[in-house]
This record gives sequence, structure tokens and C-alpha cells, in this order.
Amino acid sequence: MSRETAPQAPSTRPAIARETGDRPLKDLFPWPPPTPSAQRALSPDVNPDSPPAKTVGEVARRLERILREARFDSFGYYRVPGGFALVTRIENLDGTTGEPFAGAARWATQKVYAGLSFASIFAITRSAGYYRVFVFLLTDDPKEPQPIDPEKTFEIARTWANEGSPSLPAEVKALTIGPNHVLVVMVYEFEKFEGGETNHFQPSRWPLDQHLSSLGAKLKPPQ
Amino acid sequence: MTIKTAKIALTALWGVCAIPLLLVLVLRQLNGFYGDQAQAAWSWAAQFVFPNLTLIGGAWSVAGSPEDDKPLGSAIVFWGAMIVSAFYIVILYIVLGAHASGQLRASLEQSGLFLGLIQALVVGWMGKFFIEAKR
Repeated sequence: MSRETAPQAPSTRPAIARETGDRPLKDLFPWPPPTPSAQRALSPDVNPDSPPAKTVGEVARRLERILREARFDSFGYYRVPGGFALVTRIENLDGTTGEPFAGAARWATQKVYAGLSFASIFAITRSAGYYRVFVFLLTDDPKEPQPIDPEKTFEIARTWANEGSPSLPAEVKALTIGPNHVLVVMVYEFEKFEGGETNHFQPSRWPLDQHLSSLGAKLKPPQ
Repeated sequence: MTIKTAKIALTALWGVCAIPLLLVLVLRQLNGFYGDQAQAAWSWAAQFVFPNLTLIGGAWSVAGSPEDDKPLGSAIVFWGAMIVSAFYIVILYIVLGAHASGQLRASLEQSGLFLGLIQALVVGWMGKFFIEAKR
């Protein structure tokens, strides 16, 4: 996917560039962010037992630890005002339980070839693939999300993590956490029919708590 | 076996096998199975199913002649038409299953590569049978 397709607000570029030293992250996160399926504000401290996070880098490190323990093999950073957006690789979910598939099937972004069967010859309905992306947004200038086309959102989400920067540059890491900083977790859920329509669930099909519990970590609510 | 019986047998093979295939396509269309590929799916049917049905329909549309009650001249041509037709129909159903099992767009496009060749064989053999039947 080319970056030109990502919805962006060019007017925010100079402000962000000043804050982050004009060189740091690969690209802007769509701003305001696309409307998620579910979202929740969290404390920038991330974990309930951790001491207060003093810098953006500390928040990023705590989030990265959670994602590594949840076996995310890749994630990407994008610039947002006063912080970052950390986007996880798109996951393939079991349509019945809403839990990610195990093993390599977790990262499949297209329906896996199911093999020929008598039932497939006479199948008159088509099963869909279900997908999920987490976005952790740390910003001191939160904006209300705006809806965009489901197909476009899915296409962005497919390569979001890979096209982001793998780590934060030093100047962004050094930014201090102020009273206006908020950490928001956003979940984007999709239903994709092969060769057919894409649905972006709004609101989410599965509870946000279920998604968060699959991360296997307790997250601190905002103070 | 008379020519008429042979024509009925070949027509029955195609009728009995093509009707469920088309019914599946119609039901899939109504269920949104093909999504934005519906046109491609029907082009597939128009290209690989209907020409054979049209050939059989065309042969029957010609008024029956006294020769129809004569014994079959060449059993090889008749059985050849039956066998290649049955083989082709089996392939059509396999591709129909592949539409549901794998990549829809790819199965629609790639099946054309081999179906076109097999269909040429089938149409050729069926055409020979119907022409022989008229002699």
C-alpha cells in the first residue's frame, strides 16, 4: 500500500515535525485517527504496578514489553502530536470466539486455501475472515476519530505495522509526559469476504475487555 | 442404440449436470457469495458452460429426421463425446468448488487457462457427433 492512500492531515505536519526533530518517524499516523471499533483511555503509566512514566520512551518500552509477551512479531510506530501511535500487525481472528488463531494462521491476511471438498462445490455462502489491529496512541492533543471507508481502513491496517518505524527515535523518546498526555488503546475489527465486501465493525463485534485480556497484561486506567 | 437415443443420452448428461451447476451459481449470486466478482463468475459460466448447452439446443432445434431412428453409425464418436463431456463437467464442478475453497479471483481467472482447451475438445467432439448423426 502506498502511503499516499493513508488519510492524513497535511496541516498537522509542521507542528509534529517541530516536536519530533523533523527526522524521526517514517510517517504521520492518520490524524484524526480513523474511527476504531472500540477504544479506551489508559494511564500513560501503562501498568498498574509500574512507577509513573516520565518520558514517551518509557511508555513505549512498557507497551513493547506487553506486545512481545503477547507474541506480536512486529509492530510499527507513527508520529502523532506529542507522542506516537504504536500499531500492531494485523491478526486473523477465529470468527466464532474472536480470539486470534494460533501459529502462522494468526498472521494470515487472506483466507487460507481450505481444500476441495464436496461441500465446497455446493457451498452457496462464503465464509469471511476476521481481523484485528491494536493501536496504542500516546498524545497530548487527542482528537476525535473520524470515520473513513471500511475498505480503505482495512487496506491501511493490513500493512500498518510493517510500514511504521520499528522503534522510536531518541528525540521522541526524550519527550516528557505532561498532564495533557493520554494513552488510548484503539481496536479495529474487520470482516473481509474474499473478493467481496469489507466490514469495519463499529462498534466492535467482540468486547474490548476480551481483546485486552488476549494481550495478557493488566493495563492501568487513567487517573 | 439409435441416433435418437444417443442424442437423448448426451443431452441428458449435460442437462442433469448443468442444471445443478447453474442453480449453485444463482444461489451464490443471491447470497452475495461472489461479492464484486459476480460479473466475472457469470462470464465464467457464459464462457465455459453455455456454449455446450447452446450446441445441444441447436442440434435439437433442427427438426427430427427419419435418420434419427437408424442405428448409431459410429459408437466411438458417441462414446467419445460422452466421455469428454463427463470429464469436462467434472472439471467444471471442481472449479466451482475451488471458487469456495481458495482465492476467488484467481480461481476464476486461472481456470480459463485449462477450461478453454478442454472445452475446445468437448465442443469438437460433440459437433462431430451431431454432424455424423445427420449423415
